Amino acid sequence: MKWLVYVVLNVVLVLSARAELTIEITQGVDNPTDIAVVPFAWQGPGSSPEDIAAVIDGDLARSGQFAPVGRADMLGRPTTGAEVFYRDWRALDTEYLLIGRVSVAGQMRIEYELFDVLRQTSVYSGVETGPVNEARMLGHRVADAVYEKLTGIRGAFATRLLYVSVTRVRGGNDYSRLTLADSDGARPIVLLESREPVLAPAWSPDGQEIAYVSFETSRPAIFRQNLATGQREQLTNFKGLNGAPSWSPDGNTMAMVLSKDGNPDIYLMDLASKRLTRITRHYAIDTEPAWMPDGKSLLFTSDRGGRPQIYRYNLRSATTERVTFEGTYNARARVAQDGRNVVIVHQRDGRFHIALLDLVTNRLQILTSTELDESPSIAPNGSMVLYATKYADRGILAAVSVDGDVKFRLPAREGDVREPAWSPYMSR
Amino acid sequence: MNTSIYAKPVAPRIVYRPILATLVLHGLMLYFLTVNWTDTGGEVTRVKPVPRVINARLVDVSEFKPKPKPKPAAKPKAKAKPRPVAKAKPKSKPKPVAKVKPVAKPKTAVKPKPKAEPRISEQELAAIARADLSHAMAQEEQVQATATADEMAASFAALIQQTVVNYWNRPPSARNGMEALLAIQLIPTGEVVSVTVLKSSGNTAFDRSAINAVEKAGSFPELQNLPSREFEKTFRRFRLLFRPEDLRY
Repeated sequence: MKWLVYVVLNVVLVLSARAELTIEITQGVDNPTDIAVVPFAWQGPGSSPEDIAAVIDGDLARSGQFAPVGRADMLGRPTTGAEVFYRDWRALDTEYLLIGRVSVAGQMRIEYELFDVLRQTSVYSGVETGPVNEARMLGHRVADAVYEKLTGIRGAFATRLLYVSVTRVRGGNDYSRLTLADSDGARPIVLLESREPVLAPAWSPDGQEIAYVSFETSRPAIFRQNLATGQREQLTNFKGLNGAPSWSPDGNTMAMVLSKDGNPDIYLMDLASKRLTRITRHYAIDTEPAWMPDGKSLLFTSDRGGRPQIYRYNLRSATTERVTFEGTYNARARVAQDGRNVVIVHQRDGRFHIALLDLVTNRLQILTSTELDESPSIAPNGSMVLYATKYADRGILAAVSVDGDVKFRLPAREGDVREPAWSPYMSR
Repeated sequence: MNTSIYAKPVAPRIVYRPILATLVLHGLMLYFLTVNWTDTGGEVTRVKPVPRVINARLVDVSEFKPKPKPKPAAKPKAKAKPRPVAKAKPKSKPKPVAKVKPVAKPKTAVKPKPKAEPRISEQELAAIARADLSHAMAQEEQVQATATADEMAASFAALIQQTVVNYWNRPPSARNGMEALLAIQLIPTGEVVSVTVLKSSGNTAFDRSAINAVEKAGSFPELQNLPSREFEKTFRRFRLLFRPEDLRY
């Protein structure tokens, strides 16, 4: 009859097993994730034209979400899954490990694999191929894939930046250069060089075209330019101010500031017919239009209340409402793709900072601590904000994460650098 | 206790009784295996080990002063209530509890008891002493024994909680209110031997961050100090519910 006792015990155990302890975890520390990017194996003649692993390493480090392991600390340099010894990486407290191989057969081909060191499994593997002279872009794409896998947010490393650099010329007109570069500031290409000012570069939503203001015709005019073909079109040539072009999310309309009818107001231009619609009509200055991602409304800066503040114009109802109330200076809004986070220039204690405005909670958070920060531009995945600031009496570009925790300066080049514009996601 | 009842009447002549018992027990077992053994998410007792500090404050000496005639038998029960023992039971969500870091010493909760007694008139005290003291003491002892066991479990749960919190790096896609429920298995050394997802948050990066928080913690060696009965009861297998509340949104 002993078995009966066991049966009873079993029933009791089954019963008691149901009341299992559940511990709730409602907080975290959010330190950067440790990842090791092992130098990729080069499987071609000579040496690799580009250190792909270094490109990826740099991308992940700049995001602030990752803390890459230094190469000198690596106990091994595996390039295939069979060569991975997890204990080597566990010893370094590394959470993830990225390895890869690069080969060239006409095109460059990068094979890579991402491992979870703690669980000792492969998380993801992939292949990127492309022209050899696009090696860095291929590296950025690998970084994008790793970033998305581990953060749940699409990576924005394989994107481009536009900015204006001005070289001072003693006793003459300055040189203005409109420059295109990788998201890390590498590979700058000058798109336009002028002895007259170039301003306000902006991207088309597909990333294929740009718009900007150039004074080359001796008065400000808005141009649009195709990046692949170099083809240019002058969109406006009005008396007075022609500025601040902003492409609508569907690519069909451009918002701009014109003063042809008196003082600066916001207009919409239908890009096919070039027909203009005036959407603000106020004796104050209305400027710096920025589309909401749904294309149904625009944010703009106006001093109609006495001081510059952000307002929102609803296209359907043709109504305007004030958006910012904190402080006496809020200007130049740029909206993240989530339609919730807005980056602006905010003045506090006489200093100009980049701030993040949450349109849902209306909370304003200052992101930067330098004092002459301007022209914020947000990454297409909403994770980083690029802006112009002053460093050692020069205009430079800097970036800050949307939580304000990570800041870095982009490599400084000659001249004053200003007005950065972060591209949308680039189609391949 | 049940077992002894069934073990005794092993009288070989009555054959149908054990068979009936066997049938009933098998039926019971089958029932529990099929119905209750499955994961009933709602039935989980949720322990937030943190509120012990608040519990200690609830048992305020002044509360006992105005009461003129406390019934000795009822009192210990009422006092026992605000302890963590009771906290573990309610199935209602313990949401509004403030996030307070667990404090090591839960003893303050016990103190107010002796202080409450002197408020009672002396005659009554004597009466209590004579008539009911032994009974009250026995009851108290029992309450205290279960309380310490549960308090111990609660403090170890708090320790696990704090350790995991310190290792949890949420991905930027994490949002307040996301929930990932993990099943954890430990061995008596405190080492984590298995982490599985019972309920995914729907965000793989979030789930992975939760799993890795436990994997990075790796072990909770302090659990070696726990009596093995308590370990088996509570910590051999338990669940971790990852649900951030402190993110920007």
